[in-house]
Amino acid sequence: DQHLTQAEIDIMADLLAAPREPVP
Amino acid sequence: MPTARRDLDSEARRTAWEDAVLTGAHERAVPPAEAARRVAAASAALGLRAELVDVGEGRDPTAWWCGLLAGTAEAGPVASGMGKGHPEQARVGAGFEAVEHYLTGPAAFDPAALTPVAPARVAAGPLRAESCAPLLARMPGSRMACLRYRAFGGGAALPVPLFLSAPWYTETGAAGLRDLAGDDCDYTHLMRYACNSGSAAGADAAEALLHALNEAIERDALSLLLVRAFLCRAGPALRLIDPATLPYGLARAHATAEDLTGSPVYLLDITSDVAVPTTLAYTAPAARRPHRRGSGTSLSPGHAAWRALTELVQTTLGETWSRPAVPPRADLAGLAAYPALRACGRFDLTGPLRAARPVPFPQAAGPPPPIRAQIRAVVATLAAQGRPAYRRTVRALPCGVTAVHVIVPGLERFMLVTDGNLVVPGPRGRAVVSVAEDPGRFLNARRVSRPIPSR
Repeated sequence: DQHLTQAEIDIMADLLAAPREPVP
Repeated sequence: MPTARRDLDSEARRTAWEDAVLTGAHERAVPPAEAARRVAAASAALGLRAELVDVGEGRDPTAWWCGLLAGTAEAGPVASGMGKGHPEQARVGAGFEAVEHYLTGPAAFDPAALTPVAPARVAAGPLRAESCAPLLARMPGSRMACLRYRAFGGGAALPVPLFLSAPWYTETGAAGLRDLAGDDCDYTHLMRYACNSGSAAGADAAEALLHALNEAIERDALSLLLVRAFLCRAGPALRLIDPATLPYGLARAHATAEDLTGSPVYLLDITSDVAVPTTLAYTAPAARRPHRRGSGTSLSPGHAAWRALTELVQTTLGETWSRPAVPPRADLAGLAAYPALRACGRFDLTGPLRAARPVPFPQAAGPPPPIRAQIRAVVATLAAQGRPAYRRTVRALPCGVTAVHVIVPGLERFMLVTDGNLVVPGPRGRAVVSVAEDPGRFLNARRVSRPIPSR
């Protein structure tokens, strides 16, 4: 129905930290 | 890559033994006729009657649907399931899945079996390796409904939150059940990590446990493929099984899948470092159609491939099957704000397939061992990697039919993203990304893989 929480956003940002598409 | 076609009608070299191994006789506790008797007895013991339909309309392999009715047919089934494989195998399998869904569903909810545990405490124990642990750690409630699991090797019981195996428990409509359990937690976001993966029903407990273990390993391998394909800079090194090397039974299933889907069917060996053979049967997405897939895990590479191909057949047949309780198709709309997750959800391997390495169909080292020996081998392999497996008997019926749930803390369930669920990988999936960025670490990581003894 839902969005990523801040904890999940931080995890994805760390995963995609290579100079990667930006995480919203 | 176009797949080679063979004149399968003239290739009449299938033997009864080969077909029995391919279709998983080594993973069944009793012969098909006895399994059919037991699943019928299970339905009767639960006060339900089964409605069965051949969704494949005479195909072989095919898919069957089973609805369990408590009242009139007009009232609809209280649970349903689908089965796959040769017609008789699919019919019996549909019955077992329907019984599994009933026994693990809300109809069997028992608040007396629950133990309340603070979610922060859950997140500090063995389940800290789960992808939802960061949400659990921040959860303000103190009475999360948990069930007690036993390690396969013995030892202290592990409380595991009910929601992880019971998606229905998190829904708005289950608020009354949560009140009965005294559960004070908010599942608004945790529900994205809820699914019934790792549940299984079998003709006896051992059969159910083996299927549940293999399912957990299969979902993990698929999840790791998604991480490698769409979250790592370097693309995945796909191992594409050459269809010309398939034995007769698999070649026929492959041809059926291609005829049914109208697409090339790619058969990929996606076995992870857990080292239990795992196969993915895959068709790429098109402009107006999502990808299709089936996957299978078994100590027998042939049976893993059979499960993958027949799951693809079942999935495709299920697309046009509108009976109640068939899960809705994926909805990726919610992933749109997160492009990396949307790429995972769309699961388009078209690019990586161009660079895939063709490999011959992997031959088994020997005949599969008995069910209990297979369980011991799989559990030992997981334990050697520091991943103890935990089990819970959901219900054992007098006829022998048993439903179980198995959890291996840390094995990935990131594949939920392909349903459109907003989920992030857990520590294991995230480690794949960091290892892929550092080839030296990747080489070291591969050394944990070891072959499974065949006996």
